Order: sequence, then structure tokens, then C-alpha cells
Amino acid sequence: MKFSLSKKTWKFIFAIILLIIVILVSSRGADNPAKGFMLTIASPFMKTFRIFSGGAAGFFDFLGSIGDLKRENEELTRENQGLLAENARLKDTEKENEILRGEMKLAPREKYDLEASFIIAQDPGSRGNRFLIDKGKNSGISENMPVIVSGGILVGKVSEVFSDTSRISLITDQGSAVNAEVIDSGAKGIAKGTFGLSLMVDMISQTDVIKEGDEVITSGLGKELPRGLLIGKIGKIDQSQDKLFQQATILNPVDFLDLRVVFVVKKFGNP
Amino acid sequence: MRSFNLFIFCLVLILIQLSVLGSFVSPARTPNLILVLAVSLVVYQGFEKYLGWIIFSGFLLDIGASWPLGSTSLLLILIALGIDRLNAVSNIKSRHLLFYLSLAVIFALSLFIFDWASVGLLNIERYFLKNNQLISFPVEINFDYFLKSAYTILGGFVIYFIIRKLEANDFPKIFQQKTSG
Repeated sequence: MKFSLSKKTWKFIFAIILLIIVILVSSRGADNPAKGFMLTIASPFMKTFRIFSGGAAGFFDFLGSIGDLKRENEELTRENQGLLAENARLKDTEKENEILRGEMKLAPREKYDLEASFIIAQDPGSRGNRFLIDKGKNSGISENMPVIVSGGILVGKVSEVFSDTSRISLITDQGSAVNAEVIDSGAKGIAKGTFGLSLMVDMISQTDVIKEGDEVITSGLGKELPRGLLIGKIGKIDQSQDKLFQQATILNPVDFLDLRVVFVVKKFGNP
Repeated sequence: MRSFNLFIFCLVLILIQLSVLGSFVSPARTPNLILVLAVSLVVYQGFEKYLGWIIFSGFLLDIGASWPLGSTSLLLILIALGIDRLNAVSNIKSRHLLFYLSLAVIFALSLFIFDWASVGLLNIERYFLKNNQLISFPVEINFDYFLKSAYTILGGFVIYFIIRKLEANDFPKIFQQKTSG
């Protein structure tokens, strides 16, 4: 019996074998020369497309939100008044803090060495939890560096670095875990990404008192992240499945879908 | 010239997929334009003729993704072969309404298979890399997914139209006039 395959079937088999080999030999991250090379070429185009599309989307959002502007303006005026008062109080506290640090001979808090970067593309398989930015190894960026916005709100970490681009994973990404602390009570836990674009803090001891609205910051444990970056505010509090710990949802103030520019913290020093 | 136009079209689609769509639609609703490009190519003139283009567009998408290079191409080829076997599709091309209805079903079905298969492929990879964090989320059939399918079908029709024009070599006419002279 003669067994023969058509030309089309042979092409299909050859393509499948070739692709399986490519998948097996292709490494991830900066070690992947093909990805790095292609991203270097594509990066300027991605940036241009992203900036223009961001501008167009912003324009359409603006048109759609004209009706809400008056109400939002009134709310912002009220909020501004509250912030002015808080600012005055914080300035006073800062001055007092400086004096106390001087008295106690503590080193001043180091400022972060930041690298401003544009988001140029969205990882198609990440459901909005991973992005490409336009800075990479050539700008001094390396893996696991924290990524922040607005001077101190943590949004994620650098997960892959290429020569001129990097991939960042948001803190909402499944598998992301950050050592966290609740400011008011000092309760320590782990902030991790859950399904979709949400966050929760887990492993909080039952003896710690936490309440809705408490601010959650990075604890600085593990030295991977600086202490004091805002992660969000406590939302709904619950018990862990085994009832050994408390867990709570975290309401992050950042609209992750609207990220345009982020800052990579290249250097920091925990006090 | 047709190949060059198709090449440019693939590049533009990739840039739209990676850099533009995210500004307008939420990730859960983002259509998969590269998938519908591959499907449209196969529906238009068969699997064999466009094999190279399917692999190429898959590679381009992999460049911006965190999964291994070649994964998208592999999934696209498997889906493309499945569609190629549906000879019935080519037989009803003359009946427009029925054809476009079938095309919509094929786009939606391909999207569903692609999404499930990509999660499966990533989990296989993670299993072999001894990574315990397998991706647990299923492809949820909710309103977001309905919209994603609808956008994909809509995008698919546009892409199919453009491919037809590109392959008929009557699009874009201005570009051709300039280059032919």
C-alpha cells in the first residue's frame, strides 16, 4: 500500500515542526535577539501611533465629558481647598521632621533616580496587565525596577528589558506580589494582583486592626522596592479561606487603562 | 507590488493592534485583528497561498507579546488549516448574505478557539518551565467578550474587504499610479 501526502499537507507539517523548534529555542527577555532587534526598529513607530491614538482618544473623551465638567470643577475646587489645608499641615510636619532627623543624626531621605518613559504598546496576551515602554537597557533600566506615577504611586515592575524598550508588569498582574504595610496600623501583608485589573492585600495577621480607607504602602521589606510608595486604599475586608489571616481589596487611585507616561525608579535608598 | 502592499498592511495592523486599540477599548474588549487577518487570507484564497504571510503576521504579534516567539504563528496555522478544510465556505461565496454570515461565525469561533488555545499553550510552557503559576483564568463568556467578538467580526469584515481590494490590485489606486509611473 502506497502512503503519500499532498503538497499542502507537507507544507503544513513542515511549518508546524519549524514553529515548534522556534518556540523551543526562543528564549525570553533581553536574551532574545530577534525580539530585541524587532522592538528596536518598531519602537519609534509604536510610540508615534500610541501618542496620536492617545491624543485622539483624549479628544473624544473630552467631547463626551463636557456635560460633566461643571460638576467635576466644583468637586475639584472643594478638594483643592482641602488639599491646601493639608499641604500647609504637611509643610509644618516636614519642617519638624527635618529638625528631628538632624537631632537624631539620621541621613536625609534619598530622592528617587527616575527615568520618564512613554507607554508605547500593550501586551496582546496580558489583558491589560503588561505594557511596553520606550526605554531599555541603554537608559540604565534593569529587571525588577519599580515603576511609579505621580511621584510615588506604585503601578508595577520592569519584567523584561531589551536594548531600547522594556516590558512592565502592573501590580494587578496575576502573579505579582509586593510587600505591603497599612500606614495607620502598621499591619504588614502582601499586595497581589488578582483576576483582571484588581488588587488585594493578603496575609494580614488577625491581631492587626485595619479599616476601610486606610492607606497601603510598600513596606520596603526584601529591598526590591523602596518603602513608602502608595499602593492604594483598603476596600472591602474579608477573612482568608483558612481563617488564619485577614485580606482586603485595594482601591488603587490610578486608572491603569489611561496610563501614558510612567517613571522607572532606577535608584532608591530606604531610610 | 501586491506583496508589498500586503506587507505594509500587516505592519499597520500590528501597530494598530499593539499601540492604538489600547487607547480606545479596554483590554477585555480589544479585538484580535491579526487573527482575522489570517482567517480572511485563508477564506479569500486558501491556506497554502498565504502560509508565509500567516507565519509572518504571527511573528510580528509575538514581538510585542510576552509569550515565546512562534506561539501565535502556530495557533494561527492550526486555525487556518481548520478553516481551509471548510470547503463549504468557498462554495457559498456567490451568495453574499450567507457568505458574510458564515464569515462572522468563523471569525467569532476562531477568536474563541484562539483565546482558549493561547491560555493552554502558555500553561504548557509554564508547566515545562516548572512555573507553578499556571494561568487559571478561563475565557469568560460575558458582555466584554461579546463586545470583543463583535469588534473582531466588524474588524474582520473591514480587513477582508481590504484584502480583496489588495489582491484584486485595485487598491490603493493613487499609490499605484505614483509607483507605476
